Amino acid sequence: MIIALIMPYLLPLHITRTFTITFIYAILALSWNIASGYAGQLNLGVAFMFGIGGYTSAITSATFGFPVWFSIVIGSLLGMISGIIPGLISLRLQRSYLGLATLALPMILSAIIVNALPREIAGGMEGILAPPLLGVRDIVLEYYVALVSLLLSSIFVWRIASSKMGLFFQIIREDEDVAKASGINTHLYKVLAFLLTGLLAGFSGSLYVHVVRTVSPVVTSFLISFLPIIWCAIGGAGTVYGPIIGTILLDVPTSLARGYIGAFAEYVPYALLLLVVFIPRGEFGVGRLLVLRLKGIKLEHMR
Amino acid sequence: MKLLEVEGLTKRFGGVVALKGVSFSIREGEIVGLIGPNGAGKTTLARVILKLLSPDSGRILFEDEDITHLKPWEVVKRGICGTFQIPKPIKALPIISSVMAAALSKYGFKGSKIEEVERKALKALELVGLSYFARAYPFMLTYADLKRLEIARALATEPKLLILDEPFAGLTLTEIQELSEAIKALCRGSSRRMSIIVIEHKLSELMRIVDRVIVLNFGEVIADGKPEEVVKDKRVIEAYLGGEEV
Repeated sequence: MIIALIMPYLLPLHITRTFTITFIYAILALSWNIASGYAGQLNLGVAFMFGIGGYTSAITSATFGFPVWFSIVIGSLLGMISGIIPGLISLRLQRSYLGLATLALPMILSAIIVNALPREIAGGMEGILAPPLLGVRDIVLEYYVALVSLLLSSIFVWRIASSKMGLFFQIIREDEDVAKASGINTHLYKVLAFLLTGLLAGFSGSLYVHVVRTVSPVVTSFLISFLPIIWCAIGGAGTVYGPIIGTILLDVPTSLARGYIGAFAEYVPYALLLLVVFIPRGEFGVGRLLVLRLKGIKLEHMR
Repeated sequence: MKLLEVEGLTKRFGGVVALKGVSFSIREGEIVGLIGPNGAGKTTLARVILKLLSPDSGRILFEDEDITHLKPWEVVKRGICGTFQIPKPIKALPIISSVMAAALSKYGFKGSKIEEVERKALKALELVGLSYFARAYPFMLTYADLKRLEIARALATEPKLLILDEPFAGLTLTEIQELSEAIKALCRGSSRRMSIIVIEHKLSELMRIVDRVIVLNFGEVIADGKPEEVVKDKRVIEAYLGGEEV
């Protein structure tokens, strides 16, 4: 924690900036973690909510001239509302079928942005510029904004996880029939999980576009959907600290390596994608493993 | 007073007719055994009453209210809860958490005090003799204890009608005796008169705890009455022993 506070004064600016982006990505990982890590609804299209949040925030601030903080609020809210779509799909489809359906959502979004929205508003393939997060360009201050946002988001997720809702999410993840037989309104809680995921993903998308100061259909790419899954798998899905640990552990080295191995770094995540095949729910999550070890529980028993 | 009334319930799975116009009723405070050979439709009937399956035709009345088209969680709120034949513990959570979730689901969105819910969950675990294991994980329990956990989860929803799907299957004789004592105590001991449906095919133990037996065969009710009468019924013997003269 203290390290995170003084870091900008110890490290060169470009590394500080890497951490800013990483923290924003960590919020995205936290958001994926709600519907998929806690409630167990496979979501391969979190870029949909991320993109909606990002585009909304960029358009409201750049085109309509609203203040940045206000457009971030609008972006998060619209992200939340967009969560209804995968939420409703999750009532009909399960597991990999739900995954496939959610996978299509970011593609549809990017097609809409490029083809259906007027170029003056959404900028087509090239995208549009978004005003900087704090009105002026200040890498250190942006770092702190991202850090505080990440802290608030993790407190938010922690509150959900330790509430009645969090308990219901986990029971729905483990066995939907048991959840129903225990009197849990599975339809309501699955949609709620996606709404909360949308809220945080939209928030993270809004922050992102104001930090990189541009938005283009890249924000709906596969990587934005898949990277959070990898981060959660490494750090431990279904926990609060897991996604944060996973993101920092993976994203910082990949981003920094880009300076040395160039475009090749872009392929690293694809290799990591293989991990998801073997550990879909992050059973081997670093954080989770530590906690279980402390409690003296062997992993095999939890299956 | 009639608690549950089932009228002409039919359920098909493709070409298989699992339930053929099943009708019966359960009175308040009664323990009813639901028996029948393998594939008779016992579990299907339970799942239809719990609304985990939808019937093709027929009506289910609970306390004179038509519950045929309710969702499973609404049925639980009305006061019907069941256990699964094969225990389905929530492996990732301590057992008290899954019982607490069942207790919590009764309340609306805001819910009540967490301490009160925890007390209720502990009471449910105590009723089945598991309160000592409240903080344990399911993998630490024996199979018999997992079956008790199933019952505790159902009890935590404070049901008026409890449906136990083969509570004795896979247990040793001693465990069966312990469990049947516990079930008996549940019904007789509670201040509210709870009705219980026990689905079984281990007859000997069942006959000692039930007030009434309903026999299903090929999706039809073939007998309904006191245990000692039912075991003498010709059609029941036929169903169990395969149609030969005995």
